[in-house]
Amino acid sequence: MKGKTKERVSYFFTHLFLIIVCLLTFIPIWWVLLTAFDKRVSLVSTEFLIYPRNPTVDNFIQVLSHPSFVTWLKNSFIFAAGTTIFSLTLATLSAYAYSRFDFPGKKAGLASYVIYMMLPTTAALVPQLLIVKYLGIKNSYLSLILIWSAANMAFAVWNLKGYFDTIPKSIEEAAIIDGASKFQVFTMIMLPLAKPALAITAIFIFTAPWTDYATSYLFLTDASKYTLAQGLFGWAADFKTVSWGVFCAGSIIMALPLTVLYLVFQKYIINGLTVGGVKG
Amino acid sequence: MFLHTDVSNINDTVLTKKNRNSLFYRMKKNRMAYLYILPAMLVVFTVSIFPIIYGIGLSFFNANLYTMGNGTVKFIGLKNYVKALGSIDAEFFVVLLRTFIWTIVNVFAHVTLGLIIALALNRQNLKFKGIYRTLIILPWAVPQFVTALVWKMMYHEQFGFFNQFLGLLGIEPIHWLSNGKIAFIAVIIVNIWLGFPFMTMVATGALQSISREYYEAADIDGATAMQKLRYITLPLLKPAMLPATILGTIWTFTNFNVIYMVTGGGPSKATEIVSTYQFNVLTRQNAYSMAATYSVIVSIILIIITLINMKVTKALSDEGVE
Repeated sequence: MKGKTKERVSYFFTHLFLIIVCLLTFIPIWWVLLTAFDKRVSLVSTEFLIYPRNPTVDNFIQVLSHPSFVTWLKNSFIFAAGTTIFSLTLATLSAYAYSRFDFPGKKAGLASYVIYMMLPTTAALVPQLLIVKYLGIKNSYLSLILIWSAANMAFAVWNLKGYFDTIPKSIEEAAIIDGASKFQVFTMIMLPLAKPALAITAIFIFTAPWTDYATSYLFLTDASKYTLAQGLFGWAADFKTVSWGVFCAGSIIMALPLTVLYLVFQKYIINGLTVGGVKG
Repeated sequence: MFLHTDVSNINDTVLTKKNRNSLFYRMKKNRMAYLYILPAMLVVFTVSIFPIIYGIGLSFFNANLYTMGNGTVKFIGLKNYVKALGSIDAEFFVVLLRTFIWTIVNVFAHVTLGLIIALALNRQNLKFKGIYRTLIILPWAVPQFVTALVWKMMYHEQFGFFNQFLGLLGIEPIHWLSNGKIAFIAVIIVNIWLGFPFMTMVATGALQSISREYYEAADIDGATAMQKLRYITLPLLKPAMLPATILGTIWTFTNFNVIYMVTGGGPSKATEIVSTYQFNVLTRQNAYSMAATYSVIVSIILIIITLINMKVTKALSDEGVE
């Protein structure tokens, strides 16, 4: 009997502890939701609320009809989707070759990606700026899609190669006996089998351009090419023209797609990160 | 890059005709492979590696907006490196030291909190596990950039959440971001909040893979809860937690978003760490060569951390724990 009470008390404290932790993690998120979904007269929140007093979606309507915000959203999507499609295609092709062919130079090629991850990437910024200016592609979608693609390539290649390695070779061999070409094997057998790894890698690549402020700040000087990160950074620094409610609604729009994806794929993402080794 | 090694390989093996034939044969047989890897290699080399090498080169010159404008860029050897690390008073040295403090405090808090929460979540008959877990990993799932901006607003001295909350309790407002020391604590709080869920997730995964049998055997031997933790749980968590910790160390060391979004490195450079400092040197002072120098130094530190990582991982697998 005594042991049971003792256990109950210890479970009570475990619950108490976890409730406190949950409160701490949830308060900032709740605060953003409150600010976004509550109607305030003033630009900033001047009173302390625990639940919305006047629930409204006005802030979302305002932010989605704000011409600049729509431009940023469109630009961020083009940059992120472009980078994802471009680098995922190249990385998948590479990873397949590294996983399935035994060609001279394979080890050197793979090792060069590891070395590449250790190089001082930020030292490249000034030369990259000079090159982009020289080629006359400053403020173009292409310039930053290339830069973000290159930045994510090493991780993507290693991650996908690791996954391809786990697919048994016997499946392909059967297809080759049936007369399929290597390319057919790649597109019709390997790619469908690698769907989960492709999805995770795509989420990772997409995150970089979607949330990168520093690179867009350096490379994009034309307001019509600004990204969400640049736009919201500007809004956060300027409470005089943009209300906190509108800013929070914008933040939610920027964060929601990725948050949902990360929650849904959490297990795979954690595995991909810790098994995929050190990402520089 | 790899093509060069292939060519030299061919030269090395020129003596034995048989080998050369087999190498050529292998290259020919696998020529599709080169087609597959070439586009990615080409993009990485032209867009990244070539500029990086150029950038490393820049760190030995005196390039900035002024010297590049009037064509007086010249080779100055290791002067930039001496300027960065030459004296303990040097600004960069202070920033570097602060980065180490920032990294150690954060990673220690991430791992400890992550472990304790994972252990609590792992209790056998705990109810509402799913709800707790989802709420606890939320900070990890929300993009860091957005979180950092939101925290900046919460720290707002007049209208932010914290000072309003303190006001309700009748406590004087705190100068979260205008006092250097408090600002540094404020950004560390943000980063701890952001980082512990990842460690919780890694530890939870590892805890679930520990067989109950170990604990049952320990119970028969009359082990206390502390002994079970020390001799079963922690040693078996090591193979998962160690790589995650090293990964976390690298992420924290190079973190840019948290500090840049919340304080911008201020007030008066009091919260500057290497990544933000480097960015500010580049964008505010246009000191291209100095920024490149800092970049190279940071890279060398990261390579050292990675080498330690590889050694530790190897030691672990030699022990047979992996």
